[in-house]
Amino acid sequence: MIEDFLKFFSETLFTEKYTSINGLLQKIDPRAKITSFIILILASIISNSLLPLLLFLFLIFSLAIMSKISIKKFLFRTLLFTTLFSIIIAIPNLFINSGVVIISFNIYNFNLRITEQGLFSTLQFILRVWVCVSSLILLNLTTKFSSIINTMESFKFPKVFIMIITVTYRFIFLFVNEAYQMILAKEARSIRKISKIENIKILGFMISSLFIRAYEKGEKVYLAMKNRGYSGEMKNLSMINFHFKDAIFIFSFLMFIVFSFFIGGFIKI
Amino acid sequence: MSSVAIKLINVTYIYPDGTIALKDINLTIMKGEKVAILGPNGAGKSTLLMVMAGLLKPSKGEVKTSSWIGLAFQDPDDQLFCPTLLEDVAFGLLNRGFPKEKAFEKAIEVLKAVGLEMLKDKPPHRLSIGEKKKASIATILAMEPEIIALDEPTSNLDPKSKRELALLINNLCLMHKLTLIIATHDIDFAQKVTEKSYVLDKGKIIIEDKLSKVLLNSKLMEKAGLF
Repeated sequence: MIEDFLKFFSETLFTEKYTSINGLLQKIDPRAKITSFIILILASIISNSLLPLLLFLFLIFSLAIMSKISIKKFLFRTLLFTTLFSIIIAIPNLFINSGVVIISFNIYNFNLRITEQGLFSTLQFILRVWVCVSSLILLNLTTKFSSIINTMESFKFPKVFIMIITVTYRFIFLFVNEAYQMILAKEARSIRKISKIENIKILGFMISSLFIRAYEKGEKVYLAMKNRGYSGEMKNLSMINFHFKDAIFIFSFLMFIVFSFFIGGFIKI
Repeated sequence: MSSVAIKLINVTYIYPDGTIALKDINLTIMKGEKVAILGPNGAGKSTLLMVMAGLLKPSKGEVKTSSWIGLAFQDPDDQLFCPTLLEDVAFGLLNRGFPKEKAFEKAIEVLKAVGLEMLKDKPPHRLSIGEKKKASIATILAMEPEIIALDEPTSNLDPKSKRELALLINNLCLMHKLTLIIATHDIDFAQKVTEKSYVLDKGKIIIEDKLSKVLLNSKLMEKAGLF
């Protein structure tokens, strides 16, 4: 089960096959993309009605189609993470809000009521999470990690922060693979059924061993960096160029957000 | 007459846990020499290279070098840590104060020299082990070293990749007049790229001679765990 999770984890989060496709978002400057999506996420947070959120989702899925991303896979990813993040928080929300009762039922003497307000706030929350998660997934699918790092550099993020993210991203693959190999090695030597307690114990050993390996790897990487003149300061590697089409992209994005709020003001859902 | 590239005088290195990795090492490598440090696992080869490169400070003794030593680590994953191969190769140049454009130009030139130009925008984790080995050599080559040290350059490589790597190293040494030091227990590979050898056993140099002569001493090679 853990090995399935590790495989799934690396395939789902770190696929880079869409970044080199000739789609719409792949051609846009990463700074323009990141700025636009941050504005979209902020807009979804301040939105008080459902229509703008639905329109934002429409925009995201349209962009995904124009960026030649498999909609089936995109939908699966967005729904998976949305469900993961929102369901635990959103479901109780259905019952705790007071207001006009839509449905009422009893479970073991507990009277549960779903109100109109509860349903609205639950839907609003789920849609908000869906917009945020989809934005980030679309950004991740259409932007090379190196471009995201370059954008962070040009946005003047702290250098230490960028360095930590870069090295973490680089070595997370290595350690996912290392963990996977350790699990396979354990499986290869398991000839009888292992109890849950024993399994937890073995998992503990594996984690501690992985920590030690990570520490040793860190030491070696530092020495390799030192050998190539690293003195504690990461140099800016940003080589991206901002074009007119990127400015048009941000402008169109903003216009769509304003239009969504405008429509949302007229049609109340 | 060629001058000295590296000189180690009575070098001892003791790890913090008390393990004596190197014991009274004395060696002199001349400029342009191609040297193999031979020895079994745990003989102290990697430590010796790190001491030579100035990454580890000897517990005792002195290390003198004529210039900076470019060290390629045994595991290329230690060497490659940037988001793309191009940035990895440019890393050292930028640290040396090269302007960005020039650093990238030079990095592309070096990647061309090692045959990896097409992979310049790839993240290192997407490369094969053979490509990673070449890439780690490119990262140090970009800094125009006079001396390069390669730690177990053939570990995990298949025979074809080994042949390609030997060819690449020989060409680079010829073109750039490099002083080459490799730490290995791969005798076949050492024969292809080096002329002189030091045999290391339990942190001590037990013989220093031409590689062809050392290989004839089967008793000593057996003692050092190389046969």
